[in-house]
Parts: sequence; C-alpha cells; structure tokens
Amino acid sequence: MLPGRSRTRPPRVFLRFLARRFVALVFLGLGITLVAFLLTNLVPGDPAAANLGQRAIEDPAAVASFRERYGLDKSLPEQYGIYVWRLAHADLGESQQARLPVTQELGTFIPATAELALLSILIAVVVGVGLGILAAIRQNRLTDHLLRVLSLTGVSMPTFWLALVALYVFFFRLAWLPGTGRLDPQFSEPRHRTGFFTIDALLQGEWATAADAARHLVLPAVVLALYNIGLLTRYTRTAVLEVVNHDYIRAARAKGIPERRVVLRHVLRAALPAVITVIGLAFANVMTGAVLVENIFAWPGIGQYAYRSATTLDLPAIMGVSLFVAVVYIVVNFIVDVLYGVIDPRIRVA
Amino acid sequence: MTLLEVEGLRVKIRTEGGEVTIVDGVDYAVEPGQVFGVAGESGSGKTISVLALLRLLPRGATTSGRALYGGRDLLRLSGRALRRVRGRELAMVFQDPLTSLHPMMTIGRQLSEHVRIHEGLSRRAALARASELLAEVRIPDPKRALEAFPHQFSGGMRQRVAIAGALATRPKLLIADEPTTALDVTVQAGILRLLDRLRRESGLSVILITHDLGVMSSIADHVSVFYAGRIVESGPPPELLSAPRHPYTRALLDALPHPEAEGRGELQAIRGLPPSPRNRPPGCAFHPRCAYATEASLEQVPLLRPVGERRLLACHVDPFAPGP
Repeated sequence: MLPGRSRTRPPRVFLRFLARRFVALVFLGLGITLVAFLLTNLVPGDPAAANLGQRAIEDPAAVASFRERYGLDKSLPEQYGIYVWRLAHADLGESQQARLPVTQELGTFIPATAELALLSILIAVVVGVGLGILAAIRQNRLTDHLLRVLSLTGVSMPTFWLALVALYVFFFRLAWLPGTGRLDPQFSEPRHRTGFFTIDALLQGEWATAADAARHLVLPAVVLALYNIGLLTRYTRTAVLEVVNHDYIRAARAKGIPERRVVLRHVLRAALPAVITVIGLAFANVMTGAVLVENIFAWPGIGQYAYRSATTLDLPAIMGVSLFVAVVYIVVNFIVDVLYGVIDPRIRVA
Repeated sequence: MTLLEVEGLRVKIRTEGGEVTIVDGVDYAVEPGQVFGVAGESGSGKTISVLALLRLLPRGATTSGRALYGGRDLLRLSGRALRRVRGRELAMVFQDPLTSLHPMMTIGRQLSEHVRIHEGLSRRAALARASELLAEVRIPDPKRALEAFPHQFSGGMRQRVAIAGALATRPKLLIADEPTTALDVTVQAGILRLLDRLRRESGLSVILITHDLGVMSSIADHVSVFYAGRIVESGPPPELLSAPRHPYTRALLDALPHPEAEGRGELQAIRGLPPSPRNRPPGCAFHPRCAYATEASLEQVPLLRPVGERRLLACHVDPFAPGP
C-alpha cells in the first residue's frame, strides 16, 4: 500500500522540502550577520582613536561628533539593527583604500573569481569523478594503483608551488599559454554584463577577446583544479565502491542492463550524494580561498582583494569579504541540500 | 525437455587465506514449469551456486562445470550473449526487497528500463507493460505506483515489485533467492501463492532457494538439500519431507517447530556448526555432526546415487532406508 498517497506525490513534497531548506537558509544568514557584527565589536580598539588625529582625540566634542556620525553612540542592538538595515539595502560601507562603496568593489572582483572558480570546478568534476569511477571499477588493479598515486600527489602538492611550476613551464619555457592577468594588454575589457570576460566578449561578438580571455583562464583554472581532482578521485572511488556491492546493482546486472549503463546510471546515481558534498565544499573553497593562486597569476579576483584589504587593515572591505565568504558557503550548502533532495527522494520526506 | 541442466558445477573464490571451494560439484536439472527447491543452511553454497548461473559472482571467483540452457553453456557465455540471456530468459529475485530495488529510481523506471533495452519498446509502451505487470502481481493502483519510489512501499509490496521487474521480459526461468525470508509469515504466503500462480499460468520455471522446509513443502516440485557445497539428498517434497533418508535432512526436519502438534517433545537442534568452506571435513562433510557416521564416512566423499523413484541420496550409511 502506498502510505498517504495523495500527500506524497513528488512535486508537493519537493516544494515543501525546498521551503524548509529556504527557511533554514534565512535563519542561517541572520545568524551569520550577528556573529560578524559581534566579532567586529569585540575587537579591542576604539574606532575614534584609530581614525581621529592626535588633537581631535583630546577634544571631547570632536570625539562625540565622530561617534554620532558613525552611530557609535547608539546601543549595541540599535547598531546591529542599522547594520542589518543597511545590509538589506546592499550597503556595506566604503572601503578606506579606494573610497569606493565596498559593494561596488566586490562587484568587480567577484566575477573574476567566479569565472575562474566555475571553470576550475568544471574541470575538477569531469576529470576527478571520471577517474574516481575508473579507479573503482578497476579496483586493486594497476590503473587503480596508478590513480591512487596520482590523486595523492594532487592532494599533497602545495597549490602555490604548482602555480609557480605551471607558470614557469607553460608560460616562460614553452610559451604555450599567457602568464598573468585576464587579458593581454592589446585587448580592451569587454563591456561588463556578467563580469565573465569570455562570456561578455562573446556577447559583444569580440571573438579574439573571448579567445584571449579563455587562454588566460586555462593555467590558473587547471592549477586550482589539481587539488580537487585528487580529492574527487578519492571520494568518488570510495563512494562508488560502497555502492557496487549492493543488491540493487546486482539486480541491474541480472536484468541484462549493459555494464556501462549500470555504472553510469545505477551506480553513479547512488554514489552521487557523497560526491556532491565534496564538490560543494571544493567549489566554496576555490571561490573563497584562491588567494595565493590569484596573486601568482595576478588575477584581479576576490582573493587579491582580500589580501590587499587585510594588509592595509581596510575594515569595511574585510567585513565585506568575510560576508561574501559566509554567503558563498551558505548558498553552496543550500544548493547541495537541494540537490540531495533531487537525487534521493527519501531525503525529501525526512 | 529439460530447461536447465547443471553438471559438476564448482565455484572457487580467491580470498586472502587462499582459494576456497564454495560449491563442490553440483548436478541438477530443472524442468519447464517446475519449481525446483534448493534447501540448506546459510553458508551451504545455495546462493553462490545460482549466482554462478547468471555470472553475478564477486570478482575473484572461478567457475567450472557446465550449465546447459537451450543448448548453450551459461558458464561460457560472454558479453552480448550473456546480457541477452540475463534478464530476458533468466531472471532473479533477491532475498531482501529493501535492498534489491534502487532507492533513488522510480518503480516505473526500474521496471521499464531493461524492457526497453531487451525489446526496444518505446518509453510509453514499456511503462504500459510495467503497469500491467504491477497489476499482475496485485499491486493496487499500478499507474500511480509507477511514479513512486521503493521506500513508499511495504516489504511485501516491494518484493512483489521486484518479482514484477524480474518477470517483465517474460523469462522462462526465475531464480528466487530466499524471496520470503525477509517478510512476515502472512506476506510470505502471498508471495508463494503469486509464484505458484505464475508458474501455473505461464509455465514459468522457478529455482527457489530457501532454508525454510515449510515453504518448500507448500510449493516445490523437487527439492535438493545442500550441505557444505554439495547436494546430499534430493527428491519430491512429500516423500523427501515425510521420509528423509539423509541424517542431515532428518536433523533439519527435527529442528523445525511444529506448533500444531501439541506437547510433542522438544526441538532437536543439530549439534555442532556447519563447517566453513575454508576447512571442510574430509569424506562426508556432515560426519562430525552425524550420529550414524562410519569409517567410510570419514574417508570417502559419498556420491549422489538414486534410491527409489526420483530420489537421490549421498550417504554411505543410509540409516533410514525402508526395511526389506
């Protein structure tokens, strides 16, 4: 008997599942702002003392007017309210370095990183998952052993070192690929629409620019992907091996379904949730943690921005970056959760 | 004409402790429309011996002997020929319906996928077939069931779905490995009635593996009792179960509870444990647990020989032979 059939029809169950996840997302987001806010307030040091000159400090009126101007005379809950209010209006304040709104700066740096991260994770998923499946179906044979060595190497090599080696070999020695930046100097940046140079140039019909932007992406994207390829190979192998001995896989074989289809449809589907978790984390990681690689390849992304803001103690910018990092993780988690639900119907009800 | 003829089937599996013989020379024949029962304790090689027929053994297993089906040796088929036999002519139902259906695929998909592969039906036609099959195994509201996932069904219903899936291509032989073991007694009866009906209506042959002799007596036409990778006794269930000849079969029957016979003594457990395939005793593998063992039992493997009509026995002693 189907228990409560009318209730468990897929679309409605799925909408409710989505709604639940979304509510969780909102609360998580609020929690993050609270933590970020409290942490900045816990930092020892007086903004007035840090920003006002020696003489103004000694003038109570100047200090008071400074405090009033930045809302520091208000109670902590009030300050938090203002912070959230401004956040809701996409106001992250002004960076002290460039005197530009932090949102505007993030708007130019994030797409550069996103373009790189998306390509990199695409490479990592295609290669890593593929090799993981291969290793699993060749378990304990030569291919598997070779892949184990390769993936361990990929995971253990420091990425910044790989970046330097790649730059030396493919740019300096072989000159196959451009070294740094997003475009060669003779090209001008395509008009910003998505902020992805390849896509923007294609939209403008500037084929040469698009090709050059793509060539600039290759080295940093591959270097960033290597670690994740190793990681995904290992995780996919394990996940696949956990699934292949299940009766339902044996049942699929017993039905005469071709082996390739058994692996790609039946096995992979069951192994996917575990793999997707790793893909999500890997993506969040390259979105937010590519500081060294971006610096080596002079890639004007969020990693560089974070580095610059941190070295100049640009607090609004640092808070902006922190918030961005938090948002990336929350959103990626949300997407991973939703994908679980798409893949595994049992999760929708739970 | 015999549907399946198995001769000298041996299965060895490589393990860390060396090669282990799981199935040690098994012969039997399955006739069309027959329910062929395979009985025995867990570890006796029942399941491995049928997995070998479909070439579903784990990696590292080697098979020898012959399994003739329609003039072809199943143990030598490969690639395309194997896939055409699998799921099209021979189908399998597994012990645990909770794990033998893919948890993340709809019932409709699981029932129609191999039909489409084997018979080249369109998606729509294959789903229509799947829905008929579900009706045939008495799943209520088959159309809706096609869109459901396995976890939305009870165990008994899932086993029905698994049977429907196995029968989707109208195979001639269904291998059912303990299909009722994981189910309630009342649900068990339903599944057995279903198998019996299918056999009568469509001439399906069934290899039914079970350790439950009660199940055997209710449905099987012929029973083979496995012990330590060999058949020790076989015959039609009424005679075999009422007058067992092998001490092991008798011990198995004595270990059965008889709720209907009041106050008729205690259950007799078989003393000792079944031997592990790693160190099977020489001679008759049952001799360490057997009260009737003789010198011969210790030294020579008893061969399966005919004793009376349609009955075979592998015992040197034959302590329960009918008197002269």
